[in-house]
Amino acid sequence: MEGESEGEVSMSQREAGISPVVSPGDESGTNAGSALAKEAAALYEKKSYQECLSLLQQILAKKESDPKVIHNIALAEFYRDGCTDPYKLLDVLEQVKQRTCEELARAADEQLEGIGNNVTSPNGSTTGNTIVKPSPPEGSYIEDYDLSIPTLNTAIVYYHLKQYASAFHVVEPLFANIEPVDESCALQICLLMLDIALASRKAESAALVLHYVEKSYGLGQSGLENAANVQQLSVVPPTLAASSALDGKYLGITSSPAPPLVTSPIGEGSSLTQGSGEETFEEDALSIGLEIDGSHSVRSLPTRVPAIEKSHPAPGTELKLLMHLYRVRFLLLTHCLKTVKREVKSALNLSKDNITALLLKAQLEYLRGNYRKAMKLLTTCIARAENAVVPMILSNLGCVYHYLRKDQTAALFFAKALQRYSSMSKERPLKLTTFSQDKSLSVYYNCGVVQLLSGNPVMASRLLQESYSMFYTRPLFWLRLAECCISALEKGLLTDVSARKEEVKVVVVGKGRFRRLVLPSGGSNPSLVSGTQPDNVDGVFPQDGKEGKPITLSMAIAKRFLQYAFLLLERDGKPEELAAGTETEALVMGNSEVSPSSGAQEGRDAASTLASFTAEEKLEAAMIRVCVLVDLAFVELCLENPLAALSNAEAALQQHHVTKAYSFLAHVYAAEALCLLDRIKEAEGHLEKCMMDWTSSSGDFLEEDTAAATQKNGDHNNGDASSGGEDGSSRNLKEQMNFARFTGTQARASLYVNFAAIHAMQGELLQARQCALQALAIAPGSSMAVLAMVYVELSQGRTKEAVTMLKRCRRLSVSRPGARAGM
Amino acid sequence: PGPNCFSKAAIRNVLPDPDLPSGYSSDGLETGVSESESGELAAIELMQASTLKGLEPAWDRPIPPKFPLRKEELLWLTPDSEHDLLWHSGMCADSSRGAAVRELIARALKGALAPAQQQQVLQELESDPKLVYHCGLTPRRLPELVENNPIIAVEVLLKLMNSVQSSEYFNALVSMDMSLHSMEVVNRLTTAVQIPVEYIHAYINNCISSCENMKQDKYMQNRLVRLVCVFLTSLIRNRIINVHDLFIEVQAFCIEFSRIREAAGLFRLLKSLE
Repeated sequence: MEGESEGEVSMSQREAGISPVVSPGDESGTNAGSALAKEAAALYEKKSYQECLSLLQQILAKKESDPKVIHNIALAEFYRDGCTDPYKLLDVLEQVKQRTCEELARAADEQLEGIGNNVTSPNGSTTGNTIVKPSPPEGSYIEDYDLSIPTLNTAIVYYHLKQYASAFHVVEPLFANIEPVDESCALQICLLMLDIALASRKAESAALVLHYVEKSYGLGQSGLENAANVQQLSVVPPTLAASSALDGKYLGITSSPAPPLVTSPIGEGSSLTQGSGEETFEEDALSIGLEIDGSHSVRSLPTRVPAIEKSHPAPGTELKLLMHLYRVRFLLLTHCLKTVKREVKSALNLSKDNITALLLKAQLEYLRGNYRKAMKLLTTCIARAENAVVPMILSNLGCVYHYLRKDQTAALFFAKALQRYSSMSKERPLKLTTFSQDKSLSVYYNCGVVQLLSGNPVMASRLLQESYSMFYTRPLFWLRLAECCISALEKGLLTDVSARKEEVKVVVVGKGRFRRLVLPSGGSNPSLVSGTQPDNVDGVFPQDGKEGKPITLSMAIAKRFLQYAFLLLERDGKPEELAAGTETEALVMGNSEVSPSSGAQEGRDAASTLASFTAEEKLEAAMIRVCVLVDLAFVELCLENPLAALSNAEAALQQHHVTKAYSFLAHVYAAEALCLLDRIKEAEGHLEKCMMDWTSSSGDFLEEDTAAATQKNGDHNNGDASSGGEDGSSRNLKEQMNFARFTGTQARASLYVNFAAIHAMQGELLQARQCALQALAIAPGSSMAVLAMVYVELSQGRTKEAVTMLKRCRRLSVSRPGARAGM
Repeated sequence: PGPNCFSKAAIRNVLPDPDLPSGYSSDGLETGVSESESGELAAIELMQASTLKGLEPAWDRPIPPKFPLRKEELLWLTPDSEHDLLWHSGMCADSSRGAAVRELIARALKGALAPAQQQQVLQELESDPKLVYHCGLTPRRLPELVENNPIIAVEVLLKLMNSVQSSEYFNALVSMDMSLHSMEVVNRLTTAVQIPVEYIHAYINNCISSCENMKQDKYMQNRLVRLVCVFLTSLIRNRIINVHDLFIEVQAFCIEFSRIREAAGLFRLLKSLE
């Protein structure tokens, strides 16, 4: 089909006389080819893809299956078709790479033969190291088989598809071997890698690239004006710099900072060499460039700036601006808020209406907790932003509103943003950049998280599911989905597991003196609804994500989500490596060593930010891991798998960074699992351990209770408490992880309830009563405490007391059989 | 699931709660409704309402909290930079770029180039900074270049300083046989740029052992020893190496060749730095 249309067009072109003069049997095929190629490139530049393609077909006819031609054809077709099928392009690029490799291998074979004939060992027997063996054509004709362009294009497509993991995977090796790559391509590789690294929060890689670009394009970290100076200083090692300054004099003697110890022997040494008079030796020495009398020591060497190629033209304003923006994004990512301000300012100085710079400035204010300022900036932006940017601003406003505790408004803004995106994708022809302009996936995620936190788990799960293809490599994404399930469980929205019975449902039967109260049987905790098969989960998330029908929330699927999260965490590294922050520091220091004089302080700052950022990231990963394990323990209990619950709870307890709240939960879950496994003594041990941890730091109770008072709403204790703090609250994750609910009185009450159960189950009714009383004293009227007491009373045969106790329950529902429960 | 502590501890969950006017005992008489009727009704209702499970001890299983939201988790959106697909301009291009240099480098591996040729290589390398990666030199062939055209070797190595392959080239350089030319190259490199010190150490060790092993040719040995001494002195004076890292080796070397004046001088230099 394609071929046909090709043919037609080229025909019409020939008729129109556009076709270049190339007769089929042209002798100088390559020359004509290169002329055609130039013309095709020009047409490509002019976006006349159809014409360009017909030329390319002509070229292809001459150079059959030349990967470069195929590559360019794929590009032109992709653009001609309106960038509709990026996956097809990826396929072709892959083929191009493969074919290039094959050709390279073939060429290597041929070359081997060629070399094999005329290899002569240059130094005969002395060169023991140089094995007389033909070398593969590494580098020799490598540009003919250069993969950097198709590889770069592959990475670009992945980037625009927001598949940052794949994109990074592709671009990283390119960057690692960037020196041989042509200039135009190299810069693009750098910028692309920066974008990808920043998008996937790989601060370390971003720092590497930033450093490299600054270094090789003379964009100093500080002022750009004296970039050349910095460059000069940064590369020439101090010894050389000093010696060239003292040219013609004796290095050691005159250099004043040298300690006197050194000077005297040098004098002797010189007299010694001068007196020698052996010509061969002097010649030798001279020939290897060693100074004998020192007078022409350094001059003989070319003074050079080796690390940096001078061929780079002075960076244009555009590049300067870009680099400022990249730096801002890097600093925002690593939460280096103080330095950001300066960078934003310099960016705005270069272009005061730059929308990206303004949005970044708003982000800075947002991160610093100046929500009003951020909002003001955003609303002024929205008026003059072009269409593609408006939804981004709307989404950012959504974030700000969330932190202003206006989740309704936040959701509204996210919804507006999504609406914009959907209408945009309908009305506008697709450009490649349209993919990346469409940031709806991020908006879906933002909105999903906010919905989850404001207690709409089902809606949240739908939204999160939409963002799957961008976030599926993040453990937190899966954790959030699991949290949707748990939140839905809390609200009784699951079909496979019953909700926790918050109220005590009592059924009254009979009348008069036959009246009986029937208490709820079994436990009050979530349990499997009879008839469900817990491990039967529909295959969630097919490869392309979007096709899948909306997931039905269940505990079984929560388990699956948590397992994904855990696997991803495992893949990303062990928590034991937490101390590895120093490594990155060393890395960066190593790099800045090349430029010892250029802002060593800045280098150190960058290194320390980077180190603290990685430490922070690792801490977060460790916290997520704890959270995932504890959630898994909970979910397994709900699914009635006590063994699995136990192992997860125990694993959680073994993590480093278990906060008090999570240690409490893990102990309680483990104890319950052990009871279910009929190992009551061990269960008791867990509870005792928990109690001991608390009494040993009982002083905290008061503090935490006051903290609990400030953080009232259960769903909102996730938001930040300090609304104007410089840091916001995002930094002290560990504190945030100590949910007052699970460290304060409430937790103590449930611990006593459970202790009462443990004692009762062992027939120790007196102790059980003590514990139940304790629980009641802390939380009078709580159904758990009441039930604990009722159990004890009943076990002791005190029916009347039990009934009286029951009536103290704050959440009691009494019903008649047949009638629906509820008051 | 088999019995567990909870189910084993379950007790009867039905408790009598007789509804009697005050003053009547539960054994009392009239309640208005016929006795047998209400008893029957109660029994039926009881059967409907109760299950086989009894009342288990209450156990509080708290619902785990949500992971706290950090500001970084919500995505702040800014426009992406545009990355357009890159046209392969190498298509049908003249692949003779650097062919002359490739040719010359190939020759330079086998013998010294004429000054004009050498100049040409240097110029072309200078004018096209990427050419060095395409000139056909590999780490394995570096020693040949060093032996035949040290100046070119220096230039090439300087250009390769930043490349990922630089370590391979350095390794090839410092482990090749010691010779005037290799020393020239190392020396020029050390004065021009900072070379990772481990390579310099490796080269010095290589030099020292070469001198020691050259027993059969006293004349050549003398020559080399003196050169090594001057070389070392220069490295020490220019603070390119820290003497203390190699103190023992160098001292032993000086003692072994103390008959040679330069070695004695180096020895004194060492002593003075001790």
